[in-house]
Amino acid sequence: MQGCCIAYNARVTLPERISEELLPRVEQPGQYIGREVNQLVADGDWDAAELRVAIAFPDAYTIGMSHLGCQIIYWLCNHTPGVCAERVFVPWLDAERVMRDKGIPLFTWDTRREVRSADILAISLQYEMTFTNVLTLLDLAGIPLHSAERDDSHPLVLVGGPQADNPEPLADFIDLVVLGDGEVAMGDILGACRELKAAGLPRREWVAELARRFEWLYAPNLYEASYHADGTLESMRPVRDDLPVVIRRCQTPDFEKASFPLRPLVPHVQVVHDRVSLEIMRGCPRRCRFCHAGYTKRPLRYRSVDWVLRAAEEGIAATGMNEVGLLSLSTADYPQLHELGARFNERFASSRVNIAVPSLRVDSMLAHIPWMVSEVRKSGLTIAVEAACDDMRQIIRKKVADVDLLEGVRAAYRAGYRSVKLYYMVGFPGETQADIDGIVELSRKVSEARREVAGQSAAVTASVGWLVPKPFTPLQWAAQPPADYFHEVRSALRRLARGTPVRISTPRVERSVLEAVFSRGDRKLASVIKTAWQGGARFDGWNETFDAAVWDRAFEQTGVDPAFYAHRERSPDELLCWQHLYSGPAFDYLRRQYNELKQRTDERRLNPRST
Amino acid sequence: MRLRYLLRFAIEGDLRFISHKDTIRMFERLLVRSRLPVSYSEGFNPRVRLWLPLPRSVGTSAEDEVLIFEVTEELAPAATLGRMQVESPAGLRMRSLRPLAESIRPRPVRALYEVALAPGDCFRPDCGDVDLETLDKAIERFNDSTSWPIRRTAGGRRRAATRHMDLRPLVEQIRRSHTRLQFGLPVRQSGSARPREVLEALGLSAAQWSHRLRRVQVEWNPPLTD
Repeated sequence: MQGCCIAYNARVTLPERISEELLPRVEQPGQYIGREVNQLVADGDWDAAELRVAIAFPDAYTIGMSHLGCQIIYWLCNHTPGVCAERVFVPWLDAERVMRDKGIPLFTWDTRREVRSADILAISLQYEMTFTNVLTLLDLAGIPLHSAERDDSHPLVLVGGPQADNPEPLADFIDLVVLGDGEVAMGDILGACRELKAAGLPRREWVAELARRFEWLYAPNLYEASYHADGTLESMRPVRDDLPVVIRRCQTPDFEKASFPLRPLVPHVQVVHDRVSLEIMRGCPRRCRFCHAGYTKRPLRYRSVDWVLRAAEEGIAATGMNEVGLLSLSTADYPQLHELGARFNERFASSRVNIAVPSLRVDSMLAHIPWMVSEVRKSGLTIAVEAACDDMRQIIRKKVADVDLLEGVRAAYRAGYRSVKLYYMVGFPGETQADIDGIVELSRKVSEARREVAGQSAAVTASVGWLVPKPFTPLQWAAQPPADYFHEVRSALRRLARGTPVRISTPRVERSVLEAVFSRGDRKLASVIKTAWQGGARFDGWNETFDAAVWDRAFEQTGVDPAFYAHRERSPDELLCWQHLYSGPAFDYLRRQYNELKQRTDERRLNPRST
Repeated sequence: MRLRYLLRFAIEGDLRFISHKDTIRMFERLLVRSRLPVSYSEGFNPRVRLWLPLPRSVGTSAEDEVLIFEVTEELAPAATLGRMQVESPAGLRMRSLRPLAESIRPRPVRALYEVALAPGDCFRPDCGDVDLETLDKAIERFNDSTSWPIRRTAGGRRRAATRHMDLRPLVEQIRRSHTRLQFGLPVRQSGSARPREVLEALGLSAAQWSHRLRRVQVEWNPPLTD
């Protein structure tokens, strides 16, 4: 009788190895299989393309597939002649382990090609806590972590997205940064790269050539930073004369006609936002002083109701999904929201398709109750109030008054809503005890408001976030309060909420401090990121994988003080490390706003009734 | 009006790695994409009315599965089946579609599984060395036994519970035909064997072999006829 019947086939391909060696050994293999409905790439497309792009989201598939921006770029690239773009996500810990054990390189999801064989690796940077995942992507792909160590055989590492507005902590690891909207920028980059490739220009030389051509494209390694003795930035200058001193922001001029994925991909497994997502508006008419997106995503642009309905119709028909998300920074500010809601329900209610909107503003909520009521699935109501006291809300320019809030939720309760989630933020400059106590107090009032309408209180979750000052906002100079302050606030809130229908939910303080470090961090932080990653930091945005101790050790080993970045108020004349990246309003304007905010909080503290 | 239809399909290739829940969601969307006049449940969260009467383990391919769904208008089976195939993801193969009377509630009574042991079916040396002589002895030992105690872990991550049970009465005679291992598992409300438990009983590591399981046939009561 024959012994082993298994024969090793030396010609085994990467797709086969993934099927045989990776998928059987991971917990949720469905997230790695690719070939979803509406995938735009077929076998052979990668090899036949003139230009190959790997579009990476530095998080798990379940998060990345919910991100509309990546789907837009994927659609745009694959509708560009000569270009093939495939998707890449970060393998979860178990998959990374198997891939390292078996020597399986990072692959693209569409047709399982080696990421290393791409011309461009385009990474979407949405969040500070995905930085270590960027290193995982590079390392698993076999691409040297440091840009300086790459050669012409390696893909160009390009990043974009909100976190790319201050890419400095990642500067050592990336080749190019797109500032601003991706639609036009990506189209221009693809055109230029095809031309450079056809002309036979070595790939490393593309970096300078592209940065020279496009005023919104930043090549961090072609800029040199020098520092004062106290660690603050002294200067940031290009190393070549033909590069701009200031990088501009790219804007998509015709939002209505901009490239948009009308046949969205249908994930095989449940993803966080499992719906057809439509961006109805870009930018925000509000100027909440803490909001990075509100200041950087200007000007305000809308899509027409007809466009939204047509895209919804096509998206639903192409996917079979039963929910449409109307995305924007402030959906309540969409000028024709009422008309859109009414026409949407008229068209789709019989096919059980409902609308999902991000958090609504209270002052306009009342007007939307009628169509929200006819939604097929009534989820809980989410309201971003940010601060508990009216006067603090005015100072941070969050224009919501208690009286409107309570009137709004009453109307929602009458319409059948039973639970409310209120978003608060703690850590604003000049914050007082009244602001903290007010969180539970206001949340209780919101809960009790249902008693008047439905005879019993509502379930209210007060989701309290810790302030992370962001670049290009008036708070970019502000100090984040120390971790102890947030710990004390959390204990106080839990104590106050005991025995009430209010549930307090807070993120990890240690993570919010790290976010503050990296959101305004400079390139000296590269060593911290690399050390933490080498120490095992992965998926730092996930509670089950975040390990604050790894980061503490990384700061210690590299001698970098996190408080310098997170808890230090910047002086008005300090050169900020994102100042050469022109992403928002003029700094003079922001500084005036910051000074006014500080002045008003000082007045408020001295005389609580004055405001 | 609510009309029921019975779809028979196969799930193959890497699509077999999606879960039972994902398979249900896949069909909900597939029916809508295929423009079928689907029927929805009432209540707070309306869902397409469909049932997969026999769940399938992640990684197990299946030759002849059953989906029952409801629509509000009569369908032309051949045209509908063609439309559904067009809308299917890679790895989902439509076999047949026919109306199902309201009074008939097909219940699975037996499932037949196969594992391919043949060269060429496996690419890597680390898929395990299968010594057919040893395997035959293990099969014989299992078939000849009257009882085969195992421990089964159930429940979620937080409430993992282990219970002792006898596998033997839950498994029919195991056979090896050339390079195919074959066994039938009765499906009972009181409890059924998991295919991976059979592999483990034969000394085949489930981690190495369970993704090669194929459910080749399911018997139903009343029997299904196309």
